[in-house]
Amino acid sequence: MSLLEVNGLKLRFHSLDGPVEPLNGINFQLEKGEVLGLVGETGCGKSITAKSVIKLISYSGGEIINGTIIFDNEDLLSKSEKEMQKIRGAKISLISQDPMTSLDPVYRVGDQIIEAIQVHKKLHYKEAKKEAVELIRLMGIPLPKKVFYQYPHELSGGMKQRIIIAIALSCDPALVIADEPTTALDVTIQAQIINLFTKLINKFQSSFLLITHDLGVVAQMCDSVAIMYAGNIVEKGPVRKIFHSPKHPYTEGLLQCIPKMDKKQKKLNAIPGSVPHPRNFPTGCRFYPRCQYVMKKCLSQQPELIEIDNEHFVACFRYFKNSDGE
Amino acid sequence: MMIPVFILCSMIIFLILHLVPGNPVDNLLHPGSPPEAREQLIKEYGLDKPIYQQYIIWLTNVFKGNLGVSITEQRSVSELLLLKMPNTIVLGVASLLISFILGVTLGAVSAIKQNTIVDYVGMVIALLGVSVPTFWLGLMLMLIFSVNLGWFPISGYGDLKSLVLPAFTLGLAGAGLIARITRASMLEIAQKDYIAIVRAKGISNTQVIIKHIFRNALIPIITLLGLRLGWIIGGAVTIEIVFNRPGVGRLLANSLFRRDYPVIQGALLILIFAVMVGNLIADILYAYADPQIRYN
Amino acid sequence: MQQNIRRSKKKLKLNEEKQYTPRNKSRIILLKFKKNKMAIIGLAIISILIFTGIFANFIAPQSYREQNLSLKNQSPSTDFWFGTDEFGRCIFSRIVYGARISLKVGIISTGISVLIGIIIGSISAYYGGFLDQILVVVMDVMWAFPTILLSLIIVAIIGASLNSVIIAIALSYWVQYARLIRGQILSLKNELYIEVIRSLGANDSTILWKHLLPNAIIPVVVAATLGMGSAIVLEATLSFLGMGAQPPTPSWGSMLSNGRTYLFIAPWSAIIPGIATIITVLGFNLLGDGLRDIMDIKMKE
Repeated sequence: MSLLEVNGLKLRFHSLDGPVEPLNGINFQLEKGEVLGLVGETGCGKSITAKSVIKLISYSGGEIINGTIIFDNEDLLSKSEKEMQKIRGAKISLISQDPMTSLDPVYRVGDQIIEAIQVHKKLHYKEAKKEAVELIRLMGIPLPKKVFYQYPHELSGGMKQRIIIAIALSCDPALVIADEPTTALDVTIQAQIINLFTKLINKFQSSFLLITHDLGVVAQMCDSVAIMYAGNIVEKGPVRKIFHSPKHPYTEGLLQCIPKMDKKQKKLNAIPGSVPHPRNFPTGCRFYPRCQYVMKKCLSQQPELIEIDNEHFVACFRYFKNSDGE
Repeated sequence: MMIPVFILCSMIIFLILHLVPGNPVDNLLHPGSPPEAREQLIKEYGLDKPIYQQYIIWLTNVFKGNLGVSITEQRSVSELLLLKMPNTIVLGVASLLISFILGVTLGAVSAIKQNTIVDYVGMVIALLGVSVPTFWLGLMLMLIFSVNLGWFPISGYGDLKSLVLPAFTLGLAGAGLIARITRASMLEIAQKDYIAIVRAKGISNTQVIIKHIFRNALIPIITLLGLRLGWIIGGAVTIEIVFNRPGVGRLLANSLFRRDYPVIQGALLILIFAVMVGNLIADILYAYADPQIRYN
Repeated sequence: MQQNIRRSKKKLKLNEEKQYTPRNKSRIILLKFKKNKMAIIGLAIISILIFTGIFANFIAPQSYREQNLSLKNQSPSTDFWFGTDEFGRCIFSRIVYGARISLKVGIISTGISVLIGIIIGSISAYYGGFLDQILVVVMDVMWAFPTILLSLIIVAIIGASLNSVIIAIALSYWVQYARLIRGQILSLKNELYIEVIRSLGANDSTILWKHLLPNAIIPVVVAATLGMGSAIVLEATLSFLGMGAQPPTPSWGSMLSNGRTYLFIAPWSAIIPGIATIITVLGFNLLGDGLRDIMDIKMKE
């Protein structure tokens, strides 16, 4: 039984030109101890998925209009805000995208780590401080006691990101949602953070939902991966399978885009076209305008996610056999 | 930094007043006085010397604490100012406090209850505050609370009761702008990334608003302090006249009518000095509130 | 929430990008304007004001200077809708003619202010260097100086009259426009350089100025609308202090000044001009706020 099961999740945002529905009933599961990667280009809806799981999307103007989110056998959508507050930070925590803007500038970083500890673990300041300092040390930051008293603007981007990771892990959550944790960092720092993550994954036994557009990170850290395109999950399965034999045209395209270091390439591969704006989603399969295998059926109907191999799911009509769909 | 600005202002004040046509001594003379008496007075007040000399003399005296003698009242300007200063200071501080407390509260409540009736009403009130001539508000409050209800005296000074209406007039009128900026500031902060992270920690909404949103929103609000003080000092001029409070504002207005240079210059200097001190205090508070400034 | 009916939905073909032509931009602005209630109410109030000012002769039942001492200080009645003042003049008529003065003050003083501001702001931004630094200091000092005091001094120098009030207000309020223009030109300067460097010299600078300058003017328009309201309040304050329009000119501010003397006997003579002022200033503020919202939204998109 999965730790997290998301089914048919649909979101609605209201804008001046009318409502927008960026997520189209996505499904995915995360098992205990698993690292699931959620991959897609910018604008496909990954970040709002992350926020929706812990029901923070209403603060950004979004509304969950359909679906279920089952975490640890409980339906999160039926929970009140107060109940969700008990879960956030304690059972599910969030690591955000841009470390430069993710820490409150007016409080010391140590106090920001302590905030969650005090609320969920109900410790006194002194004990909470001890734990926080230990966490900082665990993040590989030298002089943790000194850093505890520093303000965010006194730290580098990499250090800020480590503090944010520390905050996320402070209450031993069962699930950590990491929203593009390495995107805003330099490549060298990226490598350090990825190393840190792998260490922590082994140590803390939390499950990770890793949201990223970087396939390299996925290859290094994830057990399974779900590929998102225009609000839909188009392929998912174990990382090795997907990387070795991608089935969906989009996944194929993505993997081909990665420059190869060992072969000579005259031109970099790219998928023609661009990601559609949620207000202008094509009818039928949302990928059809860019697809090299497009068939007549693709223009009018949306393919469902079907299992074509053990644990390997694809949403593409090429794998549907007539009316059976297998 | 402050001193050169202060000197620049003093120069401007001095120069502007001496551009005024008409000689102050003419106010003192009886009609039909002999020209020699006029010459005598001009010599006495040093008004025959070239302007820059007059300025230097005046400025050095200022730094010695000697602001001259009032032409109309034959008292030392410093004495007059010292007498009236406390009233204006009390009015200014009280008004500033009231306007900030009212304004920040109104703005914060409007932001928290965004797009509800509370927000709408709050912003209408704030808009009215910005649109009302302060002295008119004073007259209306006087009409309602002094004349009709008799709760407060119409004029006077010295005790708390006579301070209420004048301070609230300036306070209410000043609160409008503060409310609007508070609301805008809080709404802007609420959209920031770190607020989402704070929420993701599972902290109660009240804590998020008070500890994080409000605390960060205060920073731009503090920068208002200096500006508002300048506005209140300007407003004190009319309010002191409306409520008959003997302060520096009213002194200034009267001396403008009578062309009493020394008093005009002295009063303006003091008021500008007060504005500068206020701005300085605001800067200090700002540094205290924003760690990024404090630790650089 | 309601759905908005979109006029024409262009179906996107592969690789086609939406082209925004200038005509579309002004259509968007007009549409947004219609949706913004604040701006509409503000515009309505200002329109009524302008209408009253232009057609004062027809709207007012009698002249603003016609005195009738036997009818002095009468409370509002069917004969005199707003009552009479201490000289027996019809307050309603005086309010109506007063609209002209308020408009005159608002428009002329703001116009001069904006002009001074644009000139000084442009010079400061364009030439830069030492000149810019000095002007910035001057602007900062004037900005911190309470406007009432500044305008009071200027009127005291020139001599009390409506025109000197207009000049005094113009000279007190130019700083904000100067700052705005300076800021806009400075940021545009950077854009211009980048454009010139990146382009192969094919860009016509006239085109850039035609495109960029309209964008720079927008915040000035918003500020000027709000500024007109402030100018009217300042005129009222100066007139109240006796430094403004001299009798029998029916400026609302001087009516308030007179009204104060008779506040206890005939309160309406002080209340009514005040309300007229408030509604007018409110109109300008609503319009200015509405414009700001519309333009901001447009900029974000």
